[in-house]
Amino acid sequence: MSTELWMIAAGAAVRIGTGPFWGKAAFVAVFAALLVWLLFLPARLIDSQGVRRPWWRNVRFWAILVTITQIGVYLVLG
Amino acid sequence: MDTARLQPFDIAIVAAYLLGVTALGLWLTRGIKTSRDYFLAGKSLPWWAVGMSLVVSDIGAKDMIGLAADGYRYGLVMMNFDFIGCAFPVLAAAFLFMPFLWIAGVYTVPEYLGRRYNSTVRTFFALIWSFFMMGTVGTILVSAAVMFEALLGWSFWWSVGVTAVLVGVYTTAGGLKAVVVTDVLSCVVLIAGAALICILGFDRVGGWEGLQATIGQLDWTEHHFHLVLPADHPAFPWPAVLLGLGFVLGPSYWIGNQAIVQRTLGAGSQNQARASYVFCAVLKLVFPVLLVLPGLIGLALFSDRLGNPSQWSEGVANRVLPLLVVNLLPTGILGLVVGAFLAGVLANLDSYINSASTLVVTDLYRPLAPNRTDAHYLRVGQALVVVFLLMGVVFARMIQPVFGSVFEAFQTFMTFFQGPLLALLLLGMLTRRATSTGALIGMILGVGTAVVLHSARFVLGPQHAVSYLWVAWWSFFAAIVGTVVVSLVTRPYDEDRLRGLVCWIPIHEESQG
Repeated sequence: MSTELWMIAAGAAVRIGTGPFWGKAAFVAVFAALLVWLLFLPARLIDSQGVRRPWWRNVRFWAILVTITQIGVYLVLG
Repeated sequence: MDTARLQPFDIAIVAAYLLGVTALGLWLTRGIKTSRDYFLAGKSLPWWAVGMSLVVSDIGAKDMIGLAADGYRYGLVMMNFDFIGCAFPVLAAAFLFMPFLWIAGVYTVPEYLGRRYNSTVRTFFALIWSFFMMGTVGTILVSAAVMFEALLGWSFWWSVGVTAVLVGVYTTAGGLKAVVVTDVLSCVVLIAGAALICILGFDRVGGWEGLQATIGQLDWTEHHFHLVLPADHPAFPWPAVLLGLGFVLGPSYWIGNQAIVQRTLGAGSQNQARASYVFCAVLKLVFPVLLVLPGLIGLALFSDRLGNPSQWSEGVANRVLPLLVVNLLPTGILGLVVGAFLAGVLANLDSYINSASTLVVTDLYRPLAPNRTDAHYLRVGQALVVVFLLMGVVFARMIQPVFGSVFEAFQTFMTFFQGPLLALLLLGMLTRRATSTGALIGMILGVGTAVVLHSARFVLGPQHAVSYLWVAWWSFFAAIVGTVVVSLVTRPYDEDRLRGLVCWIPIHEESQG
């Protein structure tokens, strides 16, 4: 991505909501870290029997969905 | 007074709900034969039931009426208690912490601490939690009485009598299973009732745009539509919310609170327990909207009657929700919403009564009176439910005249211990190096730090009062430092002793799937 596009993206992120920027960034960062952790969590911590389940019965999928929703909520209302 | 008058149709709905809950609870008493059936529902609960029970166990009368008032006073920032204070720790608990409690096969959190450290740590936290839970039963009953007096004009003894008798009947007989299944019904009714207030209120104020436009005209509502407030905000500065609520109070509640953890330990399998936590996190995305939004709707509709909260006298805060109920809800719907509020109270109360009984039997009575029959412990647990309810009623009557200060004192009391408890749990589960001596010193340092910080307002004056969010954070930090430093200079445990209790030591055989 070019520098200009990065600048536009960063500006848009700052303009969404008007709360304190660093505060919002900190809350989003916590959920972003949680998201990364959930994405790379070992399979044995997801299912103790090691069974692969369809997405609607996969707790990792739902946990990621909750985390992404929280990131969106803090970006918009932060 | 802005109290609502129930019409016959409303009364019929409320009565049907109460009878339904009681009948369901009594029906579930079948098959209770062992203390495991009673305290952990025979480890047979489905994930969706546990998830819904987790959600409503967290919501009491004080929350319903208090969150509407705080939504009016502070706005969206109150949603943080269910976002950063819940979704984050609940997901961490689901994948990281719950498995240890599950694999250890314990009934209570202090029991885990006893196995990981020693019996002193176990007894200390069992005593603290028992004391807190007994007090909490009293405060729940008074909160319910305050809410029903404000909503319906009910007398103190009528409110306390209805809630105590109903909860007593099915909790005494049915144990955790009756509590969790009736909580499911309560959760559905609570969501329906709270959603109705939001939908009808939204319609009245002209939707989200109308809400923002009306509230934006007031000169004291600058931050009402922000989740993150400036670092110098007097009540909810964002660093304190993030560190105190998000990293200490939230995790301590969702990982270390017996009333919460006991439900997941009653799930049918480790996977079911994990799924219940994740389902709770999904539901918790909706609940802050249902509980905080009424406060903002109340602000848009009744700011001319209720005014600026900085000038409120005692009791005005309790009027926000009743004003909405009286002015928004038609007959029939009113009955459903009153049923919803009752549902919240019952679910909150039965959870604490059941967990207090489990805690006392498992961590205090059993070590003192070992080698008794299982039937004996079951009977003691059932008797304790009745004892706690009666004590709660007596305590509720005693504290009613000074309820505000007693409730605050109880909450303050718990902030002294939540940071150190979380520190000991985290270090116990995540490190093999934490020792019992380190834990004891860390606990003393953490509680001491909390007491010193809290005392600042009395020694240095009210202008130096430290927010309870900061107290929680620094007491947690002190407990971590104390435990780590002392543990490093004391003899570590053998690996075999820590098997199944610590994250990095593999378990060869897992008893439950």
